[in-house]
Amino acid sequence: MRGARRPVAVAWIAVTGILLAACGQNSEDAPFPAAAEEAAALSLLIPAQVVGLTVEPEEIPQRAVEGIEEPYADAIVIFSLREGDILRGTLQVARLNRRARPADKSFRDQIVSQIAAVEPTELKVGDAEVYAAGGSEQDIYVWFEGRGMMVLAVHEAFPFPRTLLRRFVDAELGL
Amino acid sequence: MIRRLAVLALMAVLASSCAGRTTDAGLVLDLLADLETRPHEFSYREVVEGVELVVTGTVEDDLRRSGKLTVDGVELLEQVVSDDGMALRVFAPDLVPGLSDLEDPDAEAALRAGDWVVDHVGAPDLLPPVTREGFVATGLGPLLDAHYALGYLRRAIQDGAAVREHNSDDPEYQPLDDPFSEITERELSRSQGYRRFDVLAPSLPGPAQRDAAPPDVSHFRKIAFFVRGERIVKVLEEVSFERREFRRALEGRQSEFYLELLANVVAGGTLEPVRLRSMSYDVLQLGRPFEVELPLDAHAGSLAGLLAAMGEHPEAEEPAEITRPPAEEEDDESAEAGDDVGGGEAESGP
Repeated sequence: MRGARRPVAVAWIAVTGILLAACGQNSEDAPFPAAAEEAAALSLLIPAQVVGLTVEPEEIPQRAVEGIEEPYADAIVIFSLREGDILRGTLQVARLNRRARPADKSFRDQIVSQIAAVEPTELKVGDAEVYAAGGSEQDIYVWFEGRGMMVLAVHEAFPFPRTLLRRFVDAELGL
Repeated sequence: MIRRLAVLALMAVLASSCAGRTTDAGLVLDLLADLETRPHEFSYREVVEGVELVVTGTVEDDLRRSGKLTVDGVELLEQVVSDDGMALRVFAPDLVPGLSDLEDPDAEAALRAGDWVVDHVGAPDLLPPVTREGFVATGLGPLLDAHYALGYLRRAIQDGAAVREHNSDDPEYQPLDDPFSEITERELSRSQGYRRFDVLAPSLPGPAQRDAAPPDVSHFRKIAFFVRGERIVKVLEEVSFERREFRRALEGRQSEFYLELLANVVAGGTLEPVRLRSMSYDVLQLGRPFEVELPLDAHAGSLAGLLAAMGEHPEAEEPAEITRPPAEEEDDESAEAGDDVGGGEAESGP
């Protein structure tokens, strides 16, 4: 079970990385909003099961985002991907705000570098440019679509990580 | 006459230096990146010890590709890679090494019958293996070598001394040292609309550097990228022990040190074994959307180790249990290959 908890931990790192990326800049934006509406909208795009895994939105505890005033994202949704009770992966979907520059490769590289512990491989999957990195006991995939940034973390025990990635890329989840 | 030749030489030098090494390398890397991200049809050809290996195929994206292998003109097998899965079909089972060593007898039987076999977790690794010294390995087997060819070329550019646009008017250019001079003149010249960019090999250690590290594959690799418009259309590579210094030394026009070095290199005195070969990568069609799909009429089975067995350095792999992705409730484009399952229930692969 300890291994099954890892993807959720990585998802938290991805969340804080993108939220903290803009720290130090001046802004009068409000604190991080709840993402219930975004989760509901995404749930319409994502089937309840993908490649045999149950997809469920997870709550982000408020303490994880307290004190963050200058984020690059104004909404984040996290989904757990479970095989029965075993957590096989997570999918994080963030809506980037106007401060972010997802069309700028250097910006994308900067954000991805905060998520991946090793230098990622850049892949073309369908129309998406995906950053792929192997983490500790898991594979991490990051891609951008419109104002959306997606982070898929898949535990190494799951045998179909690329198929899972393809399904989410094809779902066009950009918020 | 001498003054005119001097002017021509000066112009040639200026022309060759104006582009700048960094600019040419950056351009080729950008063009290679563009090719890597575009669907295309290709033909990969390799000649090793007189044996011709050809893989023709289609690339949809980095996770989906297909290829058909011929050896000395004989069709051997066909491959489809799609996301986590890989399917193979064999045309000449007696010529496929490793087929008898498959751990899955049902898969072997299906392949010998000429049927497709799909291994739902059999796709090759995303990154090519590297040697002990960090070079992208070749000799993995023709299908794998073709699979990793563009990544290999990308790394070869970085391993080389520089990239320079080819200029046959350059006074330093010697057709004798250029394995691609004839084909360039015949089919791929500037007057025919092509630009050629050469990856220059690093300099060999000289007589004053007898204690330097032994040369490696990058010293013996000649690579030419042929560009038409804004697209790479062909890449040629020659890995051989033919270098200008060795030729001149054999002609008595360079230090005997290079004869000693040549003898040492031929006897295996390189940083790692150098695999001699000639290779070409032709882009046949570019940009048109291609769709690569696993065959629907395939037996499910394990193909673990089969591709590696075709390489020159096959490594033992753990046998894999037959695995197929679970059906999805709301997805009509499931990854499963029909109802013809050759094995038991799905379990995790290797």
